[in-house]
Amino acid sequence: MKVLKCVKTDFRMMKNNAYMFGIFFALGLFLSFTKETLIPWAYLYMLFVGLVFVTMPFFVQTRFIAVLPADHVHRVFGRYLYGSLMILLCSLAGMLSGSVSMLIRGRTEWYSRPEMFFLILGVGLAVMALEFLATYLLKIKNPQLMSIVRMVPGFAVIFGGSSLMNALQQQEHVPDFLRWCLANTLLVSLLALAAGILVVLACAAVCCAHEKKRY
Amino acid sequence: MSNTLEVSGLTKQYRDFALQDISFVLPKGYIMGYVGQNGAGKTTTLSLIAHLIRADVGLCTIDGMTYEKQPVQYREAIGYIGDKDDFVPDFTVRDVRAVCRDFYPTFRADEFDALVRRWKLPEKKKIKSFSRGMKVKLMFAAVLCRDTSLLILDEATNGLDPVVRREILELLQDYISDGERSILFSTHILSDLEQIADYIFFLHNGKKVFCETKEELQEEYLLAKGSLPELGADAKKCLLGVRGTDVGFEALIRTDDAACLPKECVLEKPTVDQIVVHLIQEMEG
Amino acid sequence: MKVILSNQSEYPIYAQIREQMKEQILNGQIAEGTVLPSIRQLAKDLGISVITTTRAYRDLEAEGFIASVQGKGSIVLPTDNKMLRDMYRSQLEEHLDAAIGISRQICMEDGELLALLKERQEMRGSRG
Repeated sequence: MKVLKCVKTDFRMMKNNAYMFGIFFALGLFLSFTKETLIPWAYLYMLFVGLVFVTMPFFVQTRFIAVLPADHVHRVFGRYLYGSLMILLCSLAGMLSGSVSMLIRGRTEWYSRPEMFFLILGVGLAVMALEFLATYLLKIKNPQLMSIVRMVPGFAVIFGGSSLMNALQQQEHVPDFLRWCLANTLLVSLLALAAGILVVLACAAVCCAHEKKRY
Repeated sequence: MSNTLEVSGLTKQYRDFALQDISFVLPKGYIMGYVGQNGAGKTTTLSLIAHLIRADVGLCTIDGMTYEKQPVQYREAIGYIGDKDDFVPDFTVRDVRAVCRDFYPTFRADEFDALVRRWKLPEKKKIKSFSRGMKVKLMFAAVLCRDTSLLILDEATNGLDPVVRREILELLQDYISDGERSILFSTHILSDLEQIADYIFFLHNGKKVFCETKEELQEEYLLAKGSLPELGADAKKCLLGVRGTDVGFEALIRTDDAACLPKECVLEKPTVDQIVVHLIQEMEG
Repeated sequence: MKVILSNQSEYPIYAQIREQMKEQILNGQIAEGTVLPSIRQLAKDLGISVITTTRAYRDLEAEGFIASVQGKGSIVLPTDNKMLRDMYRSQLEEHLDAAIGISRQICMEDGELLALLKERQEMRGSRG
């Protein structure tokens, strides 16, 4: 299917930077040996890396790619599928590095369970989808500005996530809503995943309509 | 369907430039040179034809197909070769081969490999390390090894050494030798087109100046050289795009008007280059 | 068969092709019944545009030197003596015009020129 070919091509455009991904993963593993709140950090860290790199294919667009006989539906859905796979990869990487440290430290908090994986995946998908939406709709020409803008979601996730973790750790002023969440982690995480997927589909549809007007 | 390409009323408005009402027809088996100065709108026209951007008004058909009705076949029918870096810089020849195989059903990988070997293109090095000539050859390899109806060249021979240019021009003549495919060749280096172009379309400031066969063009005009003071007022009016110096003038003149020049003037067959340059000078006043 | 083009010539390319082919056909260098290269093949070989070779062939066909056969290409037609005579006659006229031009330049009388012609003919007459 053409959509899958677009996905393949997006990965091909990224593949030269795959080594950077590997470096960050190794760095993440190293860090997870040293950090206290191990597992969430591992996830957040890999997600951050992923969110910065996932928009790469947008900036490597050249005429050879632009003239390929794939219409806007193929390209947009292909791009979103590629993005989702990247986020999945990052979440798995996070789980991997977190599990290694967990095994060493012997911790079994709630965030070591699969629910964390689903939660991160859901959040990651949603942020990725919004990142792509912004990239499709805004045409920022200035490359420096663009590289800053690309970093924003990743930083937002990592700071938001770690401050949330710190707040929970200290058990101060935990709102009722969060208390309920902690009690129903499986449900919450699956809902997050479902929401993430919905956001992806919705953003993809919007981008499709937008791209159709361009051609 | 005897025309490869039919363009009618193509118009595109930008903030400080507009392409206006471009219409022409390119029959099967011929080469059209699309000429004009930098900034005249050549790349815009080609991007509109390839449907990389959308026209405000106007219609374009290739082999009778429009992009709106058959976007995939329309794109498959076009081979686009540009002057800027068209390929992803980090790609290798292998990546190009793989992407072509994925997206173009008529791509013949063994022919591609043969061409790559013949032109000695390194298979595993990144394209950004290629010389300009190698990049252009790779673009040709990617395009010639699949079935296309229209080759669009956007200043593709810029920056190439004369030997490579010759090779490319021979490739182009090969491409049209079966009479079924056509080439739209935009350039401001007219010596390339002097020999092999069948039609010339001259674009100036986003507007069509003329679209004729090269034969007609060269019969319509003559290059006149002589001495300005020796000319009468009538004769001076007939001259187009006069370049005057202390020792004489050079100008274009319609063949029909040539009789009003004194016998001392030298009349020559003009090259397409000279025709275009003098007409531009005449239009810019 | 050969076609050699000159960009410096005052004659347009299609005319050069036409005239050179015509000469070779009349000389017998291109035999009657020969199938000429296709319009596109010729354009490719000479490195010129297809429209140019098309015109040359069209002119040759109009003048009765070749005929295009569906599916086979262009074939050289048999030439008759009248054509040869016409061709050589026009060459003769050109040469004579040149002679007249020169004679007038040096203010030679027309009668003197005629006498010169007879003299040359007699000189060559024995040689034939």
